[in-house]
Parts: sequence; C-alpha cells; structure tokens
Amino acid sequence: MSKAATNGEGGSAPVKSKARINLERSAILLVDNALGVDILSHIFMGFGARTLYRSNTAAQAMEIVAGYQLDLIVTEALLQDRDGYDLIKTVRSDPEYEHNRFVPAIILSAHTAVSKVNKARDCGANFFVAKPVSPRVIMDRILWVAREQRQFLQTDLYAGPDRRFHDLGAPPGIVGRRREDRAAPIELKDDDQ
Amino acid sequence: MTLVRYFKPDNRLAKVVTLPGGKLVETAVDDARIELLQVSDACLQEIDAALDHTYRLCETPPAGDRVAELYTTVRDVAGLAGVCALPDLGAAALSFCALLDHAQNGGRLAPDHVAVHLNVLRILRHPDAIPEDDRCKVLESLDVMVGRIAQKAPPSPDDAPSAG
Repeated sequence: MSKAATNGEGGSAPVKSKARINLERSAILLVDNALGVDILSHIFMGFGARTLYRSNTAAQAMEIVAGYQLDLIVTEALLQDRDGYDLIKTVRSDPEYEHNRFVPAIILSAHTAVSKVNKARDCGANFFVAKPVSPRVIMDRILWVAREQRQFLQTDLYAGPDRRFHDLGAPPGIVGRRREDRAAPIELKDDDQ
Repeated sequence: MTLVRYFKPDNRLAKVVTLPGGKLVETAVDDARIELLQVSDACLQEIDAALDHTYRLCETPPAGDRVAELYTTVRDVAGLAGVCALPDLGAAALSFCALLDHAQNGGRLAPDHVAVHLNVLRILRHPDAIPEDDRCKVLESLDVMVGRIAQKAPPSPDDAPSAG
C-alpha cells in the first residue's frame, strides 16, 4: 500500500498530454458519506465513467461487491458502520467475493488516526490518498494502478499487492536466500580504485 | 514457518482504460474540475455546519465520547476544505485532528490548545481577511505546538513490534 505524497493539484508528476483514458466501460464502486460520494461521482463523471455504484455504508458496499464485477473500488477510510480498511480486507480474503478479490482499491482519508496505521498498512489496498481529493490526484492514482506491475501475495495475515515497491536486494554483505535476490552492490572506496 | 503465495492476477482496470475511445487525460481532468463546481456550494454549507457543530462540542471542555465525535467532525472539515479552495482551513483542521487523536490515545487535551485551534478555524474560514504570510505563520505555529505535544505522547499499540 502506498500513501500519496501530496494532495494538491501541483503535487504530482505531469501526465503526458497525449495520453488517453477510457472509463466508459468500467464499473466503479464509490463508498463515502453522501457528500463524499457526490464529490467522487462528479470527478468520475468528468473522467467519462458511466457505471458508478454509490454507497454510503460498508454493508451496502459489500452487497454491491457480492453482486457485480468491479474494475475499481474507491472508499473512504472511516465509514458510518465499519472501516473502509475492513471492507477491503474482506474483499481480498472472503471467498464470497472471489470475483472481485484482486480489484484495485484506493482508500481516501483526511487524517489517519495513530490507532489505525497498522490497519491501513495491512488491509490490502493498492493506494492510500490523502483528502481533500482533487481530479488530478485521483487521475494519477487511477493511471498508476492501471499500470502497476506489483504481484499479489497472500499469507495468513495479509492478502493484497506486494507492499514492497522497490527491490533493493539483500543488505550489503548478505547473500540473498531467494533465487530472485540480487547480489548486494559493492561499494568502491577511493582506496580500492 | 509462514506460507507466502505470490501470483499475478489480471488487471481488469488496465484492460478497460486502454480501450479505444475515451478522453485525453488532460481533458478528463479539466472536465472533472468543471463537474466539481456543481458541488462546491454544498461543500461550503457542509463545512459551515461542521464548524458550528465543532464550536458547540467545545463549549465545555471535550472529554470521552465527545472527543471522538469532535475528531470525526473536524476530520470532515479537513476532507472538504480543499475541495472549496480553502486549503489553509483544511490544514488547521488536520492539526486539530492530530491533537484530538493524541487525546484519544491517552494524551492530555489542554483547553488552551483546543481554544487556539478553534480561533484559527474561525479566522481561516475567511482566509482573504488576513495576508498569506500571516496565515502561513499561524499554521506553522500550530504544527510546532502539536508536534511538541505529540512528542510527549504515550506509546501507542502500533509501536509494538508485530509478528512476521
């Protein structure tokens, strides 16, 4: 899971001007309070999305997840009846939602309480975006999620995208145990050259 | 031993967004900004309602469940302020959220710290009334204050090492 570094309009790398996006045939679930869903709906309608499932509660959202195949879930972290974190964790792990188990998920939050940090990290979301949302930030995250190459992994405690974004190899001086571990880079000091 | 399964599922979103047609990304972002204007009035009303509720909750020193309710209310302000081009108000609300979160985790909620945040929220609701430099200084002061308070915070359950 990753947290967006900024939430301002100018905080993200510019997207190539010729790039196109087609959300006309996507099915997107938006979960937030009434006004939050309105805001997200207007953003996604501006993007050209036509099939938007709107929900104000986690319970209603789970019914939608159970009944439809989705291409993206965008949920607020703090819902009336349940955490958005729990919602995503359930989608990733409950066999009832197998058809949506790998659906990209973005969690929105204005502020993450200290007590929820672990939950946020472990819920299996692809991205964590700080509110207030802006069209630019949401667009960048959609494009990022659509292009991302991370593997999914499943353990007893976690199901979701690999949380390691960069393969830094084994620590210096350590031989990696896995086949894919790269050899640690050798640093040359001036005396060695 | 922990069993870890790796796999690479189909990314349905990737297939959908690259279908022929659609919009230029820049056009889509501009269209979304125009769409958002339709909800800006509703956002401002919601912010004002949330601020009124915040002031009412603080008429007596907040404690117990009222701190949790206050946190949720101020968090709404933080989430909406940026949509209404009130980023400084959002920043002040986030600072208040950090203070209230500290209190919910066993820290002390000093009435003076609450009062300072309420005053800043009132001022920054109408940011044009004061120069930008002064607004920045006010927000920096809040950051310093809440940062100092957080340093004194009791260890949270999240600080404990997790298995695996």
